[in-house]
Amino acid sequence: MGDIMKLLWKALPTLVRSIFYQANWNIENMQGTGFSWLLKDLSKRFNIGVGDIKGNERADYFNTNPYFVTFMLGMFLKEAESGKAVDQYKSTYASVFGALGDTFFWHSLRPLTFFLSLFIALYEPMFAMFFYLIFFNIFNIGFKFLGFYLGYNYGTNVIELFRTVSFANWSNVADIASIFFMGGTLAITIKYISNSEAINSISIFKTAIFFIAGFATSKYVSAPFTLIIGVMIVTVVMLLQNI
Amino acid sequence: MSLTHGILLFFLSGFASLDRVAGINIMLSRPIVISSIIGIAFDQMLICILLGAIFEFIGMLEVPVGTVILKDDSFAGYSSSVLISLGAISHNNLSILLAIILVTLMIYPVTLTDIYCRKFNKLMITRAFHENKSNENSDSFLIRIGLLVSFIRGVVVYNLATLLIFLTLHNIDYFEKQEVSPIYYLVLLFILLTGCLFRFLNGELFIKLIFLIVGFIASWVIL
Repeated sequence: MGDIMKLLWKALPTLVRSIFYQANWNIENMQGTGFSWLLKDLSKRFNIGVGDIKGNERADYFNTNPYFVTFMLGMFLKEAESGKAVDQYKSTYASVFGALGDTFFWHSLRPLTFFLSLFIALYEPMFAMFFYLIFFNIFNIGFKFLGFYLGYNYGTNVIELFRTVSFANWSNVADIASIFFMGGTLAITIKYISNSEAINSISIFKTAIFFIAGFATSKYVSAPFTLIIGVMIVTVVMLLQNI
Repeated sequence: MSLTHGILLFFLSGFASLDRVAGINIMLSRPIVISSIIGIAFDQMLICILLGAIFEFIGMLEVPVGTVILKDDSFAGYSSSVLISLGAISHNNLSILLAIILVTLMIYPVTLTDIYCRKFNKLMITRAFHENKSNENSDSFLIRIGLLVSFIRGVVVYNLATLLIFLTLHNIDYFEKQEVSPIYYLVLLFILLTGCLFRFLNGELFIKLIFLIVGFIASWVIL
């Protein structure tokens, strides 16, 4: 435990820096500038030649999920300390971490956090925002710090670890949980919120129709236009109610 | 709106853009979070959360893979909550639905500025390559400038776009009461679209301009 803390403490400034590494994100080298910036900082703190190895060039293309970049840093440090040419793995690992991170964080964790927050918001709106930030950032900070340690500890074998913990399935589990809370949120909305004095009640039938309409339109049009079509449908419903 | 509210919106718009474009990524930029903060500040909690939740869906339906630049749902959450909090949206059904349509449409030009930010970053890095700057200070400068540009983008673009929607809603409300003929607006729209077509048609800009002016003057005098 002491070793982990020592390693993380030494790398702390670089890990803090990693929250800004995307600032130069561009269509030329994507996150290449930021990653090179992080590696130079890391090499300085660990007195190793990471700054000299190939693959540390700012011009190099680099793109991964921002929550997984510290895995790469730990891996680079480990490989550089053992004198291996890590550069050849760079794009492969960046792509793998990119795919894993995008699927888990962007595709699944955001909806799960959202529905959990909304569930809380229905009872106590004030807590929803805090819950959203805390819940999501537990994973964010956890992956940042633990990721560096695991990357350093396992080196290029770190992918095996993801296979061991069935990380690819985490996304499926999160999606199922999101759907569960989606159902819960809809139920509470219809049962309590829509029966409040402020609005006319929304029946289960109407909910089902709107849900199916959303499901159908999302297949053919992008999200913003789904919303515009949704607004149009709502205005038609309003019109019919006033006839 | 008090000075405290103004300062809050200044920093919130800046940090929301920073969080989604340049770094941090603590999810401050999520519509549900932004809307909740504005809802707390302006005491409009429930309606702001609902607006935030609606625009949150837009973000959740897209995944930022590779070079994909997502529709700026942070702006949508920010703008709709500010509009309702400042009273630009009256509490009637049509007003809020119209506001949602306007905010949703405004997402597109706002997202375009995100693309320009990326292009600016590319320009900066290309210039650094040409000048053969490869030291750490140069990297730090590029990162810092990227953060600053994202922050400024949020403050300027989010608030300008919100102001534009505010004025549109205000004008619609005003002219509805004035009972101005719809032909007036149709003619204005017609003029605007002729400008679009003028750009689309072939020919040197200068030549096109000359023919346009000659045609305009001739018709004005003769007819």
